[in-house]
Amino acid sequence: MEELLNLARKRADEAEVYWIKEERIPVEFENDKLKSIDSKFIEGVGLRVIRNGRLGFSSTTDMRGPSLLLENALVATQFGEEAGFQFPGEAEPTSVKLFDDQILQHSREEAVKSGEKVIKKIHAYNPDIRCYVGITRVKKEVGIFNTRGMRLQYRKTILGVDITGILAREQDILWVSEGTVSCRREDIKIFDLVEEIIKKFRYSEQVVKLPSGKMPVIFNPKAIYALLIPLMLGVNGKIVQKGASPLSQYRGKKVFDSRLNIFDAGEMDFQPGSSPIDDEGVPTQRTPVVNGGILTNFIFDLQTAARMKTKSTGNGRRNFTGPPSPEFNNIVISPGEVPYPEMIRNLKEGLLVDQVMGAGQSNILAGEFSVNVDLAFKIEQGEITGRVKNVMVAGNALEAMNNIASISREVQIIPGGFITPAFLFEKLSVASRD
Amino acid sequence: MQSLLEEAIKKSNADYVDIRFEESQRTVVEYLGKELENIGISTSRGGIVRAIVNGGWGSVSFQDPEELSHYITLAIEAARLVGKSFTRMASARRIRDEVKVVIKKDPREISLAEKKNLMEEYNGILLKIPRIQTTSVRYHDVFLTKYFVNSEGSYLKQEWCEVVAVVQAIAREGSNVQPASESFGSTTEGFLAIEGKHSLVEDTGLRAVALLDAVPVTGDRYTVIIDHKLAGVFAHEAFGHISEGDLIYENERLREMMKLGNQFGVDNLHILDNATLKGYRGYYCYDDEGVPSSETFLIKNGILVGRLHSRETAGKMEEGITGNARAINYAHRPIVRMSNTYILPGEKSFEEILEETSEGLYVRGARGGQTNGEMFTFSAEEAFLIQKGKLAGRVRDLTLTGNVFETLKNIDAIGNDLVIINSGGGCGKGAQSPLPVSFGSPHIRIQNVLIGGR
Repeated sequence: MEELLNLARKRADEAEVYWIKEERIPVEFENDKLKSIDSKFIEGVGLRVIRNGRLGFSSTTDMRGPSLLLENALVATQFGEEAGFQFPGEAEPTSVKLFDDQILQHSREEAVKSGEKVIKKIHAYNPDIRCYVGITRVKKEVGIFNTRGMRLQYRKTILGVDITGILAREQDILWVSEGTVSCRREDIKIFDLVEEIIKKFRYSEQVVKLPSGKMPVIFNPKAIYALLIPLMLGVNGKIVQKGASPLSQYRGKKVFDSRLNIFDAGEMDFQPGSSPIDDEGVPTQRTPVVNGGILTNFIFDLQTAARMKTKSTGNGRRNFTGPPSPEFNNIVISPGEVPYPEMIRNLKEGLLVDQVMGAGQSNILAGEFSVNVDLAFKIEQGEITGRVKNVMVAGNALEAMNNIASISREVQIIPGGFITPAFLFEKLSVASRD
Repeated sequence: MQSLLEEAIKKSNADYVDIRFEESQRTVVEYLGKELENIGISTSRGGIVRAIVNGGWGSVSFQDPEELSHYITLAIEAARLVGKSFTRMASARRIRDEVKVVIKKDPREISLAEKKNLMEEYNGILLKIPRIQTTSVRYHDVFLTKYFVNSEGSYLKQEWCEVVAVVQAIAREGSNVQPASESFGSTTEGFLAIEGKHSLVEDTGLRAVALLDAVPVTGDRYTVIIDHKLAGVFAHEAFGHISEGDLIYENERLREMMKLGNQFGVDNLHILDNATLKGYRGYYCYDDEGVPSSETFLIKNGILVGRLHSRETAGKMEEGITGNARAINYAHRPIVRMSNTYILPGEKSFEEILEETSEGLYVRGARGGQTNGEMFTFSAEEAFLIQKGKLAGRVRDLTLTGNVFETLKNIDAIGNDLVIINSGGGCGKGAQSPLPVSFGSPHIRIQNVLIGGR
């Protein structure tokens, strides 16, 4: 890396090397059987240079020599955007725990055994359920080096588990999926997932009808992302800068329910989305995005922040194959007041949504959502009475977030970097085909 | 490279081993709004060893071919840990071949400046349209050389090249934001495939603007006529994926429903997957297991007649190989994938279909699609109400959902106007996305489709 920087220094004004080395070992069970064990060794470099004030970029996985990489990056500076920023020099990285030796010691054989146990437990409830289990161990090293003095490297371990049970009956396929992921092994409670899956299969034993109409709807933490996507895009600095965010003019204003608090958090220990610095060397932080219903901040990388005459929020994210752009580290929503069981108990009649399909397909930039409810239950007189099929829930997510009936006291960590409670909305539009 | 790979594989000891090694060069030009967000040329090299022992797969992806024998050992070890039964793979012809790609206008001979200038022109057309808030204009070209050897003595060197441009315009008025997009591309035309598209680019922008004045659709069941894009997405997403052998072979229920010979739709419904269709994004000569590509009818005369296979799924289901094992790159094992998937044309003109539809929706374009096997949801780009056989007002924000088998049976009219499109993104399955594919259809009419809306 030092050689590449030295070469680059001679031909360009500034340079930045983003290096990543990753070892990923997925163990996969398909249809109740161990299917495969793979090992993926990936190493790559992304090079950003600034010449005559303009940015150039190139990447490679060919670690044999830096000359072609540098030439490609230099060619691009002829046309590249004006760099409105400087690479950060020696920065004080945020202190965050991301590495656990216990994960590295988690062997392929252990993963195989865990998977077999999961399947056995699910089959003890119902042997007709077909099980898919994926257990993936990741070791990742990231380095950021630049001509302004930055020489930072960090390591991360990740263990992730995904379980899906599929039960096929006459005219019906029922899927239940649960997953968990952490940088620390002790957080992975694989059999809690199994219990959750069995519980949902039990709720689904009865299929009940639900007429179309406007009704109270609870979104479980696993499903709420369908309503968060428009908000996440709306506060993305890049989309704001392009003028495409429906939220751009609302900064500092109260647009959501005053109980809504949303943060971007890059500094949470053992969350896979966390890191001491973002992917261009800016220390990560905790950024309030929505505070008491008030839209407080957008998220930025260096270049977008420069265009908007503000500061990076430590959200410059990328793979080595491309330049950074603003993305959330972890999205954290503060818990509410109502215990989750009470939220259900207090409902006379309504819908409980656990899994959705088609999120992010509708006109999300306008806040619209329209999702097929993959797994949902009917609530009658405070009880879950059975599974509801062939139903869509639609509305405007930004409006819905201003009409929250209650937020659960419990939060759940959802793979993909969401830490969120469940939400009850008083009236959402539900279309049923039955 | 050939001798390096062939020497290494000779020493392997498993039921079957193959090695794929890829070298590629990729150019991107990306405008977002007024800014050129990304421009440049990147390179990549890497490979994967795949081994099967007693029916269990192990694989290792790597970047440095010098340590190949170590990776082969690792892959075989993993396979031994998995394998508990016996290996069933359909036999395939031993192939020794080199495929050179023939491109009409080779993107490697076009300067970065010229690529950038054309995208700048397209972007400029969109930005000039009133009420267009922002744009996304993306260009990429890829030149790929793939080597393949297996323990049965096959050796392949294949070149592959594609040029793709995707333009998207985002119109906005207050909190009403409406995108519209179009894509162009080819695996044989090269740069020609994306030149001279100025008027189509402008139409895309105008479409986004027109959507601002549309009214949100009311959620209900409708009779819908869908255009070639949306019907193509339906053929690919809803039906194509359940024709993939790996989804079917161990899923008893799907196997029952997907029994060859079952009636799936009207007599003139034909759906096929055709990787031999030159120029389209799903075109290739050999798949990533070295099996020659083919034209595979999935539905013929309304009856299910075929499906897509890798050597493993063909072996397990005792059906013929189709050459549909594909991987997005060297970091992945190939899995069963589609190539160019489309509905064949029928007899009726669009006008005839429209005239005989007293009430319903004419739905065009696709913003996305997802399925879970039987249920699908697609969101459309734009739609018009149909009243007494004529197009009436414009409506927006539509999501269609339904059961694929019921929906196929509910197709009651097939147009004579097939168009196959090179979608700009690609197909996603498992962790592998985006894989270059194309899809298409004539206009079709479907009865009783659930549309979500407010």
